[in-house]
Amino acid sequence: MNVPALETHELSVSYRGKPVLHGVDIEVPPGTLTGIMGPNGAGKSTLLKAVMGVIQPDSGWVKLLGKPLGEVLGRIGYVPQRESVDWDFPVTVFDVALMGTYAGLGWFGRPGKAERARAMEALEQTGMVDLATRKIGELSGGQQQRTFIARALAQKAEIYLMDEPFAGVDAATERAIIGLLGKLRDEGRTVLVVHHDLQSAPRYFERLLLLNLRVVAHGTVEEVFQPEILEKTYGGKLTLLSDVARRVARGSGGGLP
Amino acid sequence: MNWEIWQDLLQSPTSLWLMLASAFTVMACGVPGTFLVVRRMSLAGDAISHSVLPGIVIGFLISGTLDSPWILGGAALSGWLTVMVIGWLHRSGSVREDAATGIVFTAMFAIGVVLLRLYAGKVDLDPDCVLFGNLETAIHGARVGVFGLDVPQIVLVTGGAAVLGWAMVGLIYHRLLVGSFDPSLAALTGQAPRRTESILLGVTALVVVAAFQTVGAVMSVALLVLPAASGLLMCRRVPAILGAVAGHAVISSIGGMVIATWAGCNLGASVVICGAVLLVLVWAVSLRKRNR
Ligand SMILES: Nc1ncnc2c1ncn2[C@@H]1O[C@H](COP(=O)(O)OP(=O)(O)O)[C@@H](O)[C@H]1O
Ligand SMILES: [Mg+2]
Repeated sequence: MNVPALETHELSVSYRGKPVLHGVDIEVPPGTLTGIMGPNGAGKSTLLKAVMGVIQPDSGWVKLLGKPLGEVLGRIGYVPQRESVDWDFPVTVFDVALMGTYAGLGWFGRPGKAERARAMEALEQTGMVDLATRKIGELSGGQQQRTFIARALAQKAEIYLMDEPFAGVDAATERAIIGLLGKLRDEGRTVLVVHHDLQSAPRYFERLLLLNLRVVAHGTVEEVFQPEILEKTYGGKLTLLSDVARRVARGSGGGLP
Repeated sequence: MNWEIWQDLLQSPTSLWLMLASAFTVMACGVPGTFLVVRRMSLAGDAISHSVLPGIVIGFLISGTLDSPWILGGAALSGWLTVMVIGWLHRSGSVREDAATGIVFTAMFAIGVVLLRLYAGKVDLDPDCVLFGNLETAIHGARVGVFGLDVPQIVLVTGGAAVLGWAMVGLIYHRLLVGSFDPSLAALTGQAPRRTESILLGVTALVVVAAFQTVGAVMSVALLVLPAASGLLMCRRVPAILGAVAGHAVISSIGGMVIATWAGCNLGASVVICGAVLLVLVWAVSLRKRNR
């Protein structure tokens, strides 16, 4: 069997004694596109942070590409949640994309021609070349998100972790991004995306991880996108839920693109 | 404009040395200050500049002179350790970072002031000089021969601090940038953001100690923040801000000299006042640009 791209074992995380994630035990196969879903405060961002080593788990472990994080630095790409970015920071779109190429530089290296070309190519893929010299604070929401997707592409990583890349973006950007994610998956990369919209989820992703402080369900869309499971994840919090559930029951909500 | 001031300034080598020392000081503080400002860590600069005081006083009591390298090293170490302790308190939970910073550095500063008042009378250490700086006196201190030129030691010390700041930027600019903008990405790509931050804070401590003779322990924090804040108003990228910091250093040292000569007051304070005026001017211009 293939080594899972991401494997967590009994991962538990808490903030100052308040438990946020409990016994997360998952294996994500390589070359797949997974949506991570759950209500606000379910611990989706926390899971990504624990995987990236930004916060230390209370117990359990994480393996990426079959190894601990320290051995695969530079092979993991990431797109931060909008709220965690300092949009007033004095950097341009190109500066941000270029940061995606820093992994191999060492302490005293500086990005050269090859790195600049990689950053530019990534900006081309996200349609941001014309805005390359713009300060990031002067962009629209969609353009800001394209900038960070470009940075992730410039990383040429094997696993991508993206926290709500569709938040606050226009429809055209959302289509462009999902197209790029599909391409990454087709190249054999593994992509995990925190996502909010239940309507589009079964079209966008082939696998789903439903979270609410613990793993409610994890598997292919066919296995997981069921009314009872969604009900269990969201606890009837969404008014939209019953609508989606009905469509799933009628068999019109599922299906891959 | 009074012509005589300019004539006096240009004819006296002492004034030239004074301007050079203050320009070096502003530049030395402004460079690490730029990264503190863009990281929204100005308070850490405040903490360092206040917590070097006990280190300076203790170092002086041991060595008996303000010129001793032990003072510089010891004081920088005390400033650097303080911010490391603050970071540790914050990370280990229970204490908010701003609260931890406020508590630790005011305590350190208070210890320094008490030591200063207790022992300063018995030895030749002027409290005002340490708190507010006295470049006019320091410039007449020890001299060192460099290429046949008789250079005041304070010019070399501040110049060395400026070189240290620029060397840090020249060597590890990319780690400083990504570690400031996105520490998570930096950690994920093996860019050692924690160690980069320690280096930044260590260099900050060193330049602050070098600056304390020029502007004093209290006002060096103004030099950490003022040039970078003006640059941030004008520029879109960090390298441009660093350039603006250099310009700010030159203008505020010349302007400070003019103010000090004209008003007959402390040069360090005049440099800071001139820097503040520059900031207000830049701010006014940036407001007009935005409204247009
Ligand atoms: N830095 C933090 N300190 C304390 N609590 C936090 C912190 N970050 C998140 N939390 C809490 O952890 C829970 C999960 O947060 P998060 O992972 O951001 O949820 P999601 O991304 O699924 O909306 C929430 O209840 C949130 O309030
Ligand atoms: Mg979140």
